[in-house]
Formats: sequence, C-alpha cells, structure tokens
Amino acid sequence: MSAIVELTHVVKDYPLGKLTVRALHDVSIAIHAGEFTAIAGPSGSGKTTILNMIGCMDVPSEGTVRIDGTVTNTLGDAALTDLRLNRIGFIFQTFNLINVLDVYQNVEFPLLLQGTLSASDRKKRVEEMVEKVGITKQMRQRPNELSGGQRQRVAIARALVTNPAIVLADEPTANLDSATGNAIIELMRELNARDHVTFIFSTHDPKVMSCATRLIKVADGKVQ
Amino acid sequence: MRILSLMAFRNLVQARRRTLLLGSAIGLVTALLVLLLSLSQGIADNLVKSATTLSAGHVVVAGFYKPSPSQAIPMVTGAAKVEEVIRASTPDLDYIISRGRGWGKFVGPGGAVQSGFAGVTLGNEPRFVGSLALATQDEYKEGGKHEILGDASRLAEPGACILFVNQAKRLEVDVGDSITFVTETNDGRTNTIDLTVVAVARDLGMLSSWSVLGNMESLRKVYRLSDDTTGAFWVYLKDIDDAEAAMTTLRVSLAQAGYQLMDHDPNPFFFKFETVGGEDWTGQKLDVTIWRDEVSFLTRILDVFNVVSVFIASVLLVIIAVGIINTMFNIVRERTREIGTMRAVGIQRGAVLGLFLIEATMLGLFGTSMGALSGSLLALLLDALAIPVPNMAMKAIFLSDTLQFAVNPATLALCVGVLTVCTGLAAVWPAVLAARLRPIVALGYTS
Amino acid sequence: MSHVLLMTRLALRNVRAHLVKNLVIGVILAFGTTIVVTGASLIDSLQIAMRKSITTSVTADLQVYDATARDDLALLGDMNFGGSDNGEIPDYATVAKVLAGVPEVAAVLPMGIGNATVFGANELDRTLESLRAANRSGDSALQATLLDRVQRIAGDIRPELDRLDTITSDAEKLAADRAALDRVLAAGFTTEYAADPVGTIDWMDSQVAPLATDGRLAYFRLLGTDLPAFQKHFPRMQISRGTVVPDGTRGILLNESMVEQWLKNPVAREFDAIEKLIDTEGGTIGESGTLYDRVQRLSRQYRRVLYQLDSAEAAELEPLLRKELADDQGDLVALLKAFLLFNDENFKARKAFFYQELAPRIRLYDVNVGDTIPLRAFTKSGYLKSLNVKVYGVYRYTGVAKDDSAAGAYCLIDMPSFRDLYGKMTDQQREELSAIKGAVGAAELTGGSIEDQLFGGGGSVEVEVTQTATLESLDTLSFGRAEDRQQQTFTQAQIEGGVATNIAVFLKDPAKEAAGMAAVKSALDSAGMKLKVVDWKSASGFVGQAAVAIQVVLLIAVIVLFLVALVTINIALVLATLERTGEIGTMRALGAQRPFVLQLIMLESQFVGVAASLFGAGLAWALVGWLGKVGVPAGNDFLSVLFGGKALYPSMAPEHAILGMVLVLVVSFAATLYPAVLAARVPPIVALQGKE
Repeated sequence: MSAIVELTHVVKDYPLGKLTVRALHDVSIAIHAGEFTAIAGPSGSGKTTILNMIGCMDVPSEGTVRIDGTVTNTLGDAALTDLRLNRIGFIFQTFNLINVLDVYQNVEFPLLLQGTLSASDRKKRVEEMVEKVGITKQMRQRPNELSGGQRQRVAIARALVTNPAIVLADEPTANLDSATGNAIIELMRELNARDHVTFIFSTHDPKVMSCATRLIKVADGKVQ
Repeated sequence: MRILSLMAFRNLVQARRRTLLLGSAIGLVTALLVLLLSLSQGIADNLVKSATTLSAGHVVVAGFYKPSPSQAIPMVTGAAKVEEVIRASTPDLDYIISRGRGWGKFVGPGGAVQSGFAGVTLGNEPRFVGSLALATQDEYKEGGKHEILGDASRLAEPGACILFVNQAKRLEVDVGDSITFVTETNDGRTNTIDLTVVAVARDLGMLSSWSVLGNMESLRKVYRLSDDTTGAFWVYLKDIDDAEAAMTTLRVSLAQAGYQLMDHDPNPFFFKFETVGGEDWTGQKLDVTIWRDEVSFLTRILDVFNVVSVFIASVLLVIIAVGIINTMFNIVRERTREIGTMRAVGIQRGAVLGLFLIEATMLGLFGTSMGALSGSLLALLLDALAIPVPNMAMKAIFLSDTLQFAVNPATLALCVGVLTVCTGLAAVWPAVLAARLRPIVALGYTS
Repeated sequence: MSHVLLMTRLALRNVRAHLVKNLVIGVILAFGTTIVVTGASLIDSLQIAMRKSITTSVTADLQVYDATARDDLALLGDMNFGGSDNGEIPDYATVAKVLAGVPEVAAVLPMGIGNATVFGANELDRTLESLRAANRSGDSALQATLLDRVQRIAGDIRPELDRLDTITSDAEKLAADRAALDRVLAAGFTTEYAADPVGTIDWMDSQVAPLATDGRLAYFRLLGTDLPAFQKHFPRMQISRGTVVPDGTRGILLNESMVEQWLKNPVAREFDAIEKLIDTEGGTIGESGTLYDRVQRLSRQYRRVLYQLDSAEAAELEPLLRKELADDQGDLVALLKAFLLFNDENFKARKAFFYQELAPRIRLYDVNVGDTIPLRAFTKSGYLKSLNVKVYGVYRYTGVAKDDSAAGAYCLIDMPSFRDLYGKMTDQQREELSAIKGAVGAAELTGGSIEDQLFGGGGSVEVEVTQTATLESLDTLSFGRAEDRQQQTFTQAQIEGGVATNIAVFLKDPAKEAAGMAAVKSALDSAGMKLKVVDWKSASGFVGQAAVAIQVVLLIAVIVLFLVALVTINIALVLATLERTGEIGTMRALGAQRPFVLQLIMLESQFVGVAASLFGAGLAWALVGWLGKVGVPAGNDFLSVLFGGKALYPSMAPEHAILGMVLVLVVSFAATLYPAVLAARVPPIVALQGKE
C-alpha cells in the first residue's frame, strides 16, 4: 500500500529580509492511511513547515510532496484549496471556529463549501458527526458559549465531516487543561481506531506523543 | 515625553500601511481644503486688485453735491482744498489720485456698451499707468498682431480714452479709432463727446466691463463741470490693512476742517443716489469709505463662497473624524496587551493617554503637511493652467474669466494647524479609553 | 447554490458581529445617501419650479433669435446693463410662417427686447399740464392760481441755480437759465402770459420745466410683443390694476414688481422693505445696527412726503399726526420727521397710519394707470428716441409674490411702439423722414417749435433733441404718419410685419423639448434662415446660468464628499480586515477559495450599503417631505426667481432615491474592493499561527 502522505527530499527556503532561511533540509517522510502520527519538535524545528506542506498551505522549494496521490509542487492556490477542502481536515491549537456560526453551522461549513451533498444528506452527515464527538446537546450554541474542550470537539467534527483522507491537528491540546486534553486525545484515538481516520498532529506534549502509533521527531529542519 | 514621542513615532512606522492610509485620507481632506481656500484667496486677490484699480483707493473721499435738495451729484467741490486736508492728515499716506465719475453709453462701430467713465488726471497717478497691463492686438481683434499697439501715457491727450479688452471687442475698435460717449447730464440733457482710443488694457475681472478710462478734461467737458471739482479722491496707503483706521482719522480731520460728512454707509456711491436725493440738505457733503465698501456687492459674493467652502470643509472634517476615531479604537484594541504591559511596569495613565494623543497628532501632522503640500502644488498648477470659466454666473462668482488660485502661506499654516489639532482631538476618546484600561484586564485580554 | 446560501448567512452574521464598525460605515453611507437624495430632489424641484416660473412668464419653451447676435439672449437679465445686442430678426412674419409649419410647434409670439428711461414728471410739469388744460377750457381763475404756483416754484428754484455756480463750467447756460427764471418771476409775467398763453406755456415747458429737478428717473425694461397673444399664451399674467391694452391700440402695461421697486414713493417702499426684513428675517430695529440706521436715514427723507402735500392736505394731516404721535409741539416738518423715526414697538402702527392717512394724500406711484409717459430709449446707433405711450394697466404673474422677482419684470408694450423706439423704420417712415430733412435742412432744432412746425402742436409726441444735434437725431421724428399717431391703432399685419429681436416658441409637448428644438432648428436651417434656437434655460440668461452654476457646485460638493467618504470607509474596512485575518485564514485553510472570501467581504459591505442607503433615503424622504410642507424660503429676489415664488416646495421622486442608493452602493462597492482583495490574499497559514 502506498503512502497517503509522501514527502521526498523536501527542501523549504524562506526569504527573511535579504537572507534566505532554510527551514527544511532534505526531509523525507511517508505516512500511511490509518496511522496516528505525531510530529514532535521544539519551536523553530521545522515542525510547522512540515505541517504546512502536508496541509497544502505551502509547497516545497525542492523535492516533492504527494498528498493522497497528488503532487502539490506545481499546484496553484485554487487547486491547493480544493485539496484542502476535499482531502484534509484541520484541527487547530486555538480551535478556530467561526464565531458567527453555531455549532451545527460550523460543522456544516466545509460541506457547504463542497456543495456536493443535498440539504438532507448534509443534515444527516452533520448530525452524525456532532453525535460522534458528543456535543449534540450544544448543537445550536455559538462557539463563545462553549468550553475549550467542547470547542475542540466541534473542530474535530468539522475536520471529519468531509471524510478527509488526512486530519491535521496542530497542537490540539495546547490550549486545554490536561483532563480535557486527554479526553480530546482519547476521542481522536477512538476515531482512528474505529473509523480508521488518518491523524497527523504536531505536538510537544509527551502525553500526546505517547498515544501516537508513530512518532516523527524534527529538529533543525531535519527528521531524526 | 521624548520617549513617548519616540514610541509614538516607531508605532506609526511599524504600522506603515495604516499610517499611510489614514495619513493620505487626512491629506486628501487637507488638500481639498487648501484648494478651496486658495480659490477663495484667488477671488479675494482679484477683488482687491480690480477694486483698487478700477473702483476705489484704499480709502475713498468722495461725496455728493446737491444744488437742490432732490438733486444728488456724485462729486467733490473745492477739490484742491479737500486734497490738502487729506494729504495733511492721512497717516502712512502713499499717494492720492482723483477720479471723475461719469456713466453713460460708449458707441463704436460694432455696437455700444454701458459703462462708467472714469476721469483720470494723469499727472496725479504716478503708479496707475504702470499698474495697467496693456493687451496685445490679437487679444481683442481677430487676426490682430501679437504686439501692444497703444500707450497708456497718452491718456493725457485731449479726448483720449483707454478701453478694456471686453469693450474693445464689443465696440470693434482698435487703438487710434474713435468712439462716442453719450450721457445724460444732471439736468436731463443728453451730451456727447468723441473720444480716441489710445490703449487697450487687459481685463481686470468683472469690474472692467463697467469702466472706461478717460481724462478728467473730457469728463468736465461732457458734464460741463468747473475746474475745481472732481468725483472722488482715492487715497492709497502704505498698507491696505490700515484703511479702516485711516478712514476714521480722515473723518475726524475733515470734520475739523469744517466739512459736512455723510454717515458711514458701507456701500458703493451709486447705491446712495436715492437716499441722498431724498435728504433735505443742499451743498456739499463728503463721504469717506474704504475700498471694501465700494465693492460691497462683490464682497458679498465672496462671503457666500466662503460660507459654502466652510460648510463643505466641515462636512469633510466630520467624516474624516469618524474615520480617525474608528481607527484609534482599532489601535487601542490591538494594543491592549501592550498597554497592559506598560501599565504593569508602572507607566501612569497620563502617559498612556499622551502616547495615543501624540501618535494621532503626529499622524495628523504628517497627513496635513503632505496634503497641504500637494494641495498647494495642485492649486499652483491649476492657477498656471488658467482654466477658463465658461459660465456667466460662475464668472460673476469668481470675479474673473479664468479660475485663479492664490496660495497664502499663513492660510496653509492655519490649515495644517487646525486639521492636526482636529486629528488629535478625534483621538481623545479612544485614548481616554486606553488610559482607563486596568492593567489586569489588559494583560488578561485575549481575543 | 449552497455557496450563496452560506455566504449570505455568513455575511449577515458578520455584519451583526462587527456591529460598531458597520455602524460607523453605515452612518457615513446613510449620511451620503441623505445628502444625495435630498440634493437631487431639491435640484429637480428647483428645475421644475424654475421651468414653471420662467417658461410661463416670458421665455416659453424655446426662443429663436439672430444667430449672428453679439450677445446671448438673456431674457431674465445679464451683466450688460441692458447694453446687450441680441441682433434682430428683420421680418417676423416670414419666420413665423416657417415655424408654424413645424408639427411640434403649438404657437409663436414675436418679441422685442429693449430698455427705456422715463423721467417722472416733476411738480412744475404737472402744474404746466394743468395750466394748459385750464387755458383750453378757459377757466381764468384757475389759470391765475396755477400761474401763481408756477411763480412760487420758480422762486424756489432760483437760489438753487446759485449753487450750480460752484460746479458748472457752462456759464452761458446758467445765465440763460437765470434769465428764464427771472422772466417768470418778473412782475410783468402775468401780462406776458395773458398775451400769448399757449406760447408762454410752450416756452416754459421747454426752458423752465427742465430746471425743476424733483422728477425721478426710472428705468423700464421693455418687451414689445403682440399683447393679446401674449396674454393668451402666458395665462399666469394677470392685470392687477387698470385694463388690458385694447386690441390694435398702442399702449403699455407696467410690471407690478417694477412699479413697486422703481415707481413707488421711496418712503412707502422703505416701510415695505423694513416690514419685510422684520417679518421674514426676524430683524429688529433695536438701538443700533443696519435696520436702525435705515430708520434714521428714512426720517431724513420726510421731504418725499412733505413736498407732495398741498396746503389743504397739510392742514388736515397736522392734527392727525399730532394725535398719532401725542405731540403738541413742532410744525409739520418736525412731526413728519418724528413720525418716520419709529422703533420696534410702534412700527406696525406707524405703517398702518402711513398707508391709511398719508398714502392717499401723496402721489404713491410716480406713474399711474391712465398716465401717458414719455419713454426714451437709445437706438442701436446710440441716439435717443422718445415716444409717449399710455399706461393702460399694471400686470403681475399669479403665484409670484407682489414684490418678488424683479428680474424679468418687463413692461409690455405693443409691437409697433417698440419698433418706433427701437429705431427701425419702415420704408414709409424712411420716405417721410427724408421729406422732413428736406423741409428743415440741417438747422438746429428746438423742442416745442419743431413739433409745432411739423405736427401743429398739442400732439402726444414729444421731440427730444440732443445737444449735439446732428441729422441723426431726426430719428426721433420718425414714427409714422401724423394720422397714425392720432389714431394710435394698427392692424395684426402691422404687428407681424416687421422687425423683432426674438421669437418665443411654444411646443405642443413641452416635455419633448430636445425633439422640438431639433425640429425647429432644422426647419429654420432648411429655410436658409440664420437664426438660432435655444431652450428656456439658456434663454433666461443669468438666472439659468446661475442654476447651472448651483448644480455644478452641488455636484462637485457631492463628488468631494463621496471621495472622502470612500477613503474613510476604505480605511475602516482595511483595518477591520486586518483584524479578521485569523478568521479568514481559517476559512481558507478549511478550503474556501479566494473568490469566496472576496465575495463574502463585498457582500458584507453591500448589505451595510443597502441598509444604510435605505435608511438614508428614508431620512431624505422625511426631510424633503418636511421641506415640501414648510417650504424652503427664498431669502432674496434672485432666489425667488429661481424658486418661482416666495418658497420652494420640493418633492421627492422615486428616481432620486434610486439615484442616491445606486451612488452609495457604488461608493461602498468601490470602498470595499481594496480591503476585499487584501482579505482574499490572507494566506491559510495564519490559521495555524494561533490567531483566531
């Protein structure tokens, strides 16, 4: 089985003023479907850059990035956005829910962007997801009426609602107390185990790392 | 204070885009205001120039002679003695000229114009000839040569007259041609005199359509006036701003010299016939006015223009103030954490307030200076282009055939000052809000 | 579809979420809408009012005049002091025929624009007139009284001549004038009169009467036209005093505003003016200020009343004044002075007293209905012509206040009289003139005698002779056969056959002005006539141009306003966008395309725009509605011409609201473009940077 995410000899340079900073030095990673991968490393290690590549928010300077069979190097913004919409789910450190929409609408948001499902299918799908993450009761509440843990559950539901090939989670527990954080990790593990959702998350929380089925350590722009 | 200014400056540099945007908005308003004021100043300059060339001196000593109670003749009798008194008692006097006053119809081959007839005694008017810009032949005659044909100093010749371009065009005359002046004298007779055009002068705004210059001898002849009379003395001072004071002084001295004076009525002499004709006195009364009175019908136009300008400017100011307040609130929100830190390390409320006000004022100063600069450059450019005014009513408003702008450094400074202060004031509310933030709240503030 | 739904929902919620920012923008936009909608309504209402006022008073829908004219036609006045040269149409009838063939044209009317002066008759003139009548009727007692009055007036004038010594260089004339007065004042004058009454009166008319200077000069703007047709086509015209000029008869109708402004006794006029200032502008006389000064000056004008009272009237008036003023000292002069020195408390009472007791005893107007007045006008070549015409009545326009709109205040005169004054001769007159020239040669002419020589005296024709009498001054003699003048009548053919300065054209459908104008133009062109056609606004002259100027100023103000509003809104939106990068980044990360973000931001501001413009238009509707009820007062005469009355009552049409709203939406669209592009450029990465 081929890897769902495949970074081959990826180099990434960033211009910083007149200098060029090399964020990634020849990184090669392959992640397979159903894996529960943690990418760990201190700040400035290149962790976020790798995540950006996987999340189709950025393309490498050299080497290739293949996401679910698509090479992103030469893709434009629109194609990358399409990839994000259809293949990738995001979970953010600061939850990043859309404040003006309620829980249901937040979860529905990517489906509306896709615009492929009918209204009734959409409703079924959203309700199913909301139930899966255990926030059915709060379905009509706005994000600012929810606790951090609840918000992150909404974010998980939103990330999974499109059935993405990969779910990227960027320090999902960083803004949560440890009990809530554990619950969230537990939820993700459960989803991974039951529905075979592929999770990739960046973290420096040892507890999270310990839950991962695979750990990729990054330091100074290199995989160790 | 210095550190606050430095911080404010750095903040502005850091938020470059915002500074430029807001600065350019403030600049835009300043530029518009400067443009309006330059136009107004241009009109005012035109007004002063044409008024003090064609209608009045800085101070005017004129009056009415009434042979009978109902007859009002705009003239000064015993002119020599009056002039002596003026000469003796005007402070900072530059020079005095006398002008005869007539009104009638000038008839030429191309038609006729109604106009005033100013009786000039050339010997009296050292600067007058020099101040008159003569027109080249092609300015008033199609296919004419691009050269000045006439000579203003020939006005002293018997029967000479100087026309303005607009009149020369209408009458279809050139230098050397003759025209006829037809007028009704005070007793209802119609007299005429033939005049020879010795020069054609450039127009000086609206007033020049109603003014033909001739010599005093012609005027005396056509109105059958005796030698020791004149229409008015135009008194020029070293500084036109002293006119009001000089008028007061002259009133006192003329009264002391035994002359009867008319009450000060700030209107041109031709508005006064009706009133004077109805009063019961006879003989001579003198009327002392300043140049502004003699063109009061035009200064009113200027006043209206200024009112409109101020109205437009204040509406703009309101809009821009709303914009500034909104922006400052944004800045305060954005910097809440920073304010909290500052307060936490022991910076007083006043300093926080000061920081924001200084920042806004600096921004204002930057914007208004840029605006004033570009506004005045634009005004100078537009002035140089001499855009013709197509509409008769607009010509009356602008007192000129072309749009004229005059940039006055004092006005510029005033604009920059006032608008900068306004910008500062617009920031007061948000700045107070910032200063009121409690450090704990500010630090704990998360979006 | 789901996109649109999502975007709309998001946009609406965002508008609510960023309420303060949107309120700021909304207020600016609503303010802009209100100004534009109100401004547009005002301008349109002004146009309609002007159109109504101007086309129905003098211009009609179109005007036709000489294409080679030096000056543009300016029926409501320009800056040339009546010296305008609008060229001429040599034969009205031929042009009228062409115009009548144009299907769009409903009617045409000949017009002749000119100026004339009238020296109001002085007291001596009037006395001599009475003396002439008394002589004709043979009333010798009356003649004696009148002759005595003539001598008394001459006695008053005599010392005035001494004052002329100071100013005149014409000693000869002064000596002659003195001699003339001395002759009247001499003891033997009554005998001289008895010997030759008519000759003596004629001599006094020409030599003595001009020396009395209490007559006033009035300026008349003349509009020569086909009077019955004029009244038919301008139905707003209404005779307020007197009658219409009978068909085919020479005569003049004075304009009421002109009469009030120029011919009314100045004291009465000042009463009116002060009342107007107090009533409409809330002025007070007080202890100082311009109104106070005016009252002070008015008090010195007592002679304007006093000299019009005869001894009987003076005797009646004195006790009345004494009672009114509660003053038992002082003579009539002192009483009149005191009477005219009023204050805020007693002004109303004084004015009422003036009109009740004083006005009936004085000559309230210099010219009254029934008078025959000597009109004097300069011909095109600069020479003076004179013509006596009878005043049949005074007219006004309905819907215009009595003392308003002096511009366009024409005195209407019949076409043949206009042509006489204007100086255009018919061939017949030309022949006659050469006959006269042959008869009198180039001899200098004197007033009375030539009249007697040529027409046998007693006619209504006054001959004016300029001092530099040249042959051309004989123009003044050239108005037709003696018989015509006595009959004072003419035919319709005489109205139409001859010169006119301009032609008023009425369209069948005034709303289709442009089409009518084109049709008239092409008809004239194909007839080979060098005439131009202008619309009413252009024909009105200064007033029309002022209206254009006002529109231009308002337009510039609106443009400037929107420019600044645009920049301000732009800044507010840019800042708001910068604050929302986290949210936008999230959406982008979740798969929202750039156009989605762009459209979302645009949609948000358009929602604000729609709401604000609706609100602003509503506000404007209320404002215009209110103004329409109370009226925008015309502060001065000029504005009342523009407004077509004392106030403008604006009304709002749907297109004004639409115009304002569209403009505002365009502005908010333009203002949002840059921030929306900025927003669309927000990279999805920011979502990962801990921003929300």
